[in-house]
Amino acid sequence: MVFINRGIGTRLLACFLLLAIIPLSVVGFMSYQSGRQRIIFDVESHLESIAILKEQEIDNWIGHLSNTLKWLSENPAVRINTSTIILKDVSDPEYRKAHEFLISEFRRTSHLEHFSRMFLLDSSDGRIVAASDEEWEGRFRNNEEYFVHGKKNLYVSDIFLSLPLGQPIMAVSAPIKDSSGHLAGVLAAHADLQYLNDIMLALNGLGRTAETFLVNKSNLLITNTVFTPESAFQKWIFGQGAKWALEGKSGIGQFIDYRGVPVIGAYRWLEHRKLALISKQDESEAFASVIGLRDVILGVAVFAALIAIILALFLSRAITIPIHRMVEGAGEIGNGNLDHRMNIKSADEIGVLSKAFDLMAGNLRAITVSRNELAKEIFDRKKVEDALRKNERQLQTILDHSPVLISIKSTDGTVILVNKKFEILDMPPIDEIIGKNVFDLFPEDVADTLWKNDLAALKADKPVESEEVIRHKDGSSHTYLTVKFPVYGDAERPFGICAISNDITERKRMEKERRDTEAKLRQQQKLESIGILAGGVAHEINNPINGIMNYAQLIKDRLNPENTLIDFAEEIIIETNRVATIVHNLLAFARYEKEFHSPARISDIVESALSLIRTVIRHDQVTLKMDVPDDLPEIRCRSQQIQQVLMNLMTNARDALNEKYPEYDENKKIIISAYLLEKEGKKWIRTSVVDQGSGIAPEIQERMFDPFFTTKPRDRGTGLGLSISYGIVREHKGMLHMESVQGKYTQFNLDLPVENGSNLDET
Amino acid sequence: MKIISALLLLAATFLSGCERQEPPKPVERINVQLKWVHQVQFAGCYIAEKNGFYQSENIDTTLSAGGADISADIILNDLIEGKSHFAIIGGDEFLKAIYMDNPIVAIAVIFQRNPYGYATLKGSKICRPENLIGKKIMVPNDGKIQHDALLSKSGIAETDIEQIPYKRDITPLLTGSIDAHMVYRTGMALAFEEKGIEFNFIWMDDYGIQFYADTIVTTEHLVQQNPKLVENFLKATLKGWRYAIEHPAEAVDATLKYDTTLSRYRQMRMMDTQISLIHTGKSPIGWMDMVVWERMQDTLKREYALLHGYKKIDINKACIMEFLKKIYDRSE
Repeated sequence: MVFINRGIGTRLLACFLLLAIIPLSVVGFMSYQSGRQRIIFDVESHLESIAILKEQEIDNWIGHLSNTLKWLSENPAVRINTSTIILKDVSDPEYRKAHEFLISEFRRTSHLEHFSRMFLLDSSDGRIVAASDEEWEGRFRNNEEYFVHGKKNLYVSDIFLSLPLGQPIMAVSAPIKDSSGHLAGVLAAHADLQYLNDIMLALNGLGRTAETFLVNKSNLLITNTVFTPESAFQKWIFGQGAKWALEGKSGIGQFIDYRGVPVIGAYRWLEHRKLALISKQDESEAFASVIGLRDVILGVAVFAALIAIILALFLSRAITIPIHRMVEGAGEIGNGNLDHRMNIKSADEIGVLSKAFDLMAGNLRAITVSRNELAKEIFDRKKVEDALRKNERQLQTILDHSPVLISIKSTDGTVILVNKKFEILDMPPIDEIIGKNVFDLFPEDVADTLWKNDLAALKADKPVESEEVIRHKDGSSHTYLTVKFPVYGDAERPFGICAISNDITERKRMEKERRDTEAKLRQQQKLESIGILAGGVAHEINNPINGIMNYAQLIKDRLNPENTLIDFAEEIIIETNRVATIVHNLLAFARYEKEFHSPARISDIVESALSLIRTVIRHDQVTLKMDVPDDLPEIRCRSQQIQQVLMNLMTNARDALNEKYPEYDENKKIIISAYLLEKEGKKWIRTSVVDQGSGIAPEIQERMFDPFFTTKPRDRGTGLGLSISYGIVREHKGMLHMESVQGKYTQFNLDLPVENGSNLDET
Repeated sequence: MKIISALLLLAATFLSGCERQEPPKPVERINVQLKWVHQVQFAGCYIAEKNGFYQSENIDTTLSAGGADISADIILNDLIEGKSHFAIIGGDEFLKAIYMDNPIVAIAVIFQRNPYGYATLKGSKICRPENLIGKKIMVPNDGKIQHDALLSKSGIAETDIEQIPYKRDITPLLTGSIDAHMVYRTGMALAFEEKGIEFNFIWMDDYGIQFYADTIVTTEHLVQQNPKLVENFLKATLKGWRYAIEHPAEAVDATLKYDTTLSRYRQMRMMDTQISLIHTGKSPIGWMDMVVWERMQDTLKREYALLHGYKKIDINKACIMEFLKKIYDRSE
């Protein structure tokens, strides 16, 4: 569109619309209001006159009924016959005659007038003695107000619901006096209320929502309404009009009626009848004509607005199209097309303006030529600057992504540059580091070392390598291999030192690990070669020892028992036996003995080991604590050998305990436990033997598994126990390891795989 | 401008705050003992419950049905012991209770007119008390006093009428074994109607036996301790009755919720019939006329004297108009 935002078109449109609608609205609103007021006035006066008329009509009707009754009660014939009835007995023919007369009189009058029934009450007890409806005779009405009041005066009752009839009635009553002026009876009649209903509902010249009705003091609806026919005496009315009337007021106004609908109405309090009279019409209907007027005004307004819009559109286009062309032209010139001309030939202000524009474009063109040269120079300089900036960015990117620490310090130790990697160090954020001295950033000892290295590089005037230990933010210390070298600017003297540091912590750790593993391997190999050597030697020794032993035995047998040489022979036998034991053990260590691998329960193995040494342990007053469940999986092993291992461990434990506690002590105990564990994806059974004995000194721990190494007295051990055990366990593809704190405890863990890969028939 | 709007805002906050400050009243749980089994006779209560009239007075009402096994004595006992808070009992039962010094009070009368009368067959020509002379009649126990009162008022000797032992059955009248059956217009009389039998109904009320029937009673204690509760309960109940009369079909539906086995047709007939007993047009629903109470006392005094020795009841003390007047905003 040509007009958007606050363009001339929009303003024009707004002006036209305002011009068209404001006068129309004002005039329309005023005529609508005055029409409305007029209608309210008319309807209210109409309704008020209706209400007054209806009230008069009710009064007339009731007055007529009263007069009729009064006339009848004063009628001489009625009076005489009443006296007869009251005085005479029922069986008396005169009574019957009087009765007949009265009944026929009552019926005749009822038919003529608006009475539904008429009857005579005995003034002494209120009994109905004669009635137009025969069945009413004999009934008592002594409690009714129309009887009580009717004895004295002409009385018109309120409208109430009759029990025998089940319908609302209004009673009129009057005293009947005998010829001497004494009260003889009460004449009463029920008014036909249908007539009252008719009066109230009779057409009133207003629309179909106009209605008139009566409400009693209890808010009870007395006559039917247009909207709720057949609701008299079955509905309570709480409309505003009824409320006002029941407060004793009479008037006109607009209010909400019993249906909750806004109405125009008149309300009257009928003091004599104790009734509220409401006459009303729905506002919607009353205002129907004025609403028509309103619709016409609205229609005209809409039409006028449409015309205004069309006019405004037409005019604004005539103005805005040339302006738009000028806007386009100005844009073209602004974009540099100085040859562009608008050429609007109209003679009005816009034509003049466009000519001025064209002239301006010509002048601009002349100026632009000299300006272009200057622009080219600026352009070139900018290109160089861009290249420089790009370079700098690249450098910074490289620095920031470098995995090593890079920094430049000035020759006095002030930080000039650091890369992003510095974030991991235990120091302030990077932008705070710049400008600080190395001694402000590191603890003094670290800073000292760093600065010494810096100075060394400066002095050497070439790259110098050094190892530096620096703390990280997470608190860990890291070792860096740093290359430092002096940095030169344009001057001949270096202006700073550059440091490139590579974190070699991990590398160093791995190196140490490798060294440890190699040491372990060497130890293992040493043990193995000793094993092979010992095995070979033992094999060679075994046969001669047997010979020596046999010969010694022979010597002993042949000697006279008194000969002291027997002692020597026995000594030889004992010593050779000793050698045989050693050899046997050596062979065991060297795996020269063979046994089948078969499934066995570790609890059984422990138990059989214990059976051999339990006596000894008990003798030494050592307590045994066992935690070896029966339900552990069976392991495949040479159970004799494992038993030997366990015996060795327990014996060692006992010895350690005896060393620490020569007598009984509550801590003098060996704990044997076994449980299942999983490592390297395999199931293992770990059997632990723990004692709180003397422990093992660290320098001894390394040599513990060496053959013939022992800490015990010569007569107590061969030094082969642990090395043999070690050999056995290795052959079972298990592990035997130990931890100990001297003076406190020693724990041996024997880990055996549940499935060691050997078959039953493997030898 | 800003100051004014700020002030307005402040005022609005303050006002709304004031509204909220009113603490929510706790709901009062009450038990109402009805005189008889659930039927449209108590429609006002059912409507008050169903339409939330009790609820909006902050009352949680339980309506307990009476029945053949729940005598007036039991109802009174429960009321005095606090098992129920309100009860609906007959006007004569109420006066008897007062006569025996029970600490209860009447706060409204729902059935303003006496529902008792004699049903006779249309063809029998028995349509007023004199016609009963020499006839066979069934009179229920609780109707005896009224029956006697009617006879004496109509000048009929007791010996002139043959009384047949009472049965709750319509056949004796149909077969002619009796001539008149004293029944409630809203009770057994409806059974005749439903059978399509044309009958005369001789209202006791028509012959000067004015008896208040269903009366709302409570204890002196509750009136003293919690008059607001009494007023609120009565207000909701009377509103229920007004609604019931304006919407009879809804009243029957509400009743059927309490006993689904009831005949809708019968309850509808009962509703139509009882309207002119409940609401006379002379005074608002529930209104009490001390004169009527006095008359009742007068009628009953013979029996009272016989049973408990003669004394006079202070009607103005036993029948409290305070709540009705407050509800209907009258000062007379």
